Amino acid sequence: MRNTISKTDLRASISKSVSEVFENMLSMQIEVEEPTQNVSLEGGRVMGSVGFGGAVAGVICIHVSEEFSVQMTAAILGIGLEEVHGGEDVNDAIGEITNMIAGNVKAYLSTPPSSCSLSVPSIVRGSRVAIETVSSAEREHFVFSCQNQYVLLELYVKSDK
Amino acid sequence: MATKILLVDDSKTIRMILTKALSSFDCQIFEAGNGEEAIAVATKERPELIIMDVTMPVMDGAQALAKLKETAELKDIPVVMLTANVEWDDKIKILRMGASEYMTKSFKPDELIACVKRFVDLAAKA
Repeated sequence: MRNTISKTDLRASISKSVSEVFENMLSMQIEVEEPTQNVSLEGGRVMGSVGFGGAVAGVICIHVSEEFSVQMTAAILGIGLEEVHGGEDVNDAIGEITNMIAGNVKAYLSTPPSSCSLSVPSIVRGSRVAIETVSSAEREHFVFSCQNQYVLLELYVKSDK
Repeated sequence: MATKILLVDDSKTIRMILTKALSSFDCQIFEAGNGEEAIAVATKERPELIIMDVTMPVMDGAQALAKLKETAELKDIPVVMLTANVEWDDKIKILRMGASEYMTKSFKPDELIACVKRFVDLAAKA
């Protein structure tokens, strides 16, 4: 069953979850920015996504620049930037970070939370990546900033309507 | 003597994070990428603690946990299950299957150390 949490509370909970993941696993402080802000990620983009299904269905996506994805990977692994071994390390790290955030978000979306399962993470890379959904999906957009970089989060939930 | 700990997760990132978090602890780390490998490594190395992800390919954590519990020489190894799912009823389900503890990913290193130390201390008293 879909949780009847208010949109304001949902946004606050998700923002808190993202902050916790960044703080606990990457030792990075992130700031919540206005979601209306028009943000573009310079250069290539790395997008991590995790789907969820069951009582509530949808997908959560994290977008970061390629440059920041390498910094995030180095941070979560506790290694220097030069030690990050290309795409595979970054894909795994971004996938796991997305997975952790999705695990927290899922708990706010469905009642009971276990009525909803997560997919395995997937990674998309490109310079112009956009998600387009069918009309029955509701979208929430989040903007965070961290170390002069942006982290964009999109949550798409299949509408009950 | 160093505590033998088996880390089981299909994500190399998670295994590296766990290894880094345990670096201040006197332990010998073994790794496996799925439940099937975990059973093989556990049979060979007889770790004193297993930290295992729930969602993995080939054989997932729940299946591997069941296999450990039905194997005489492995059933008493404490198993800490690790997952991104934070729900209480998932935790209850895993604990009922025989896991000794349940930790969610996005953990603080101190949390992991405290958890590991608890099991090491228990084993020392036994």
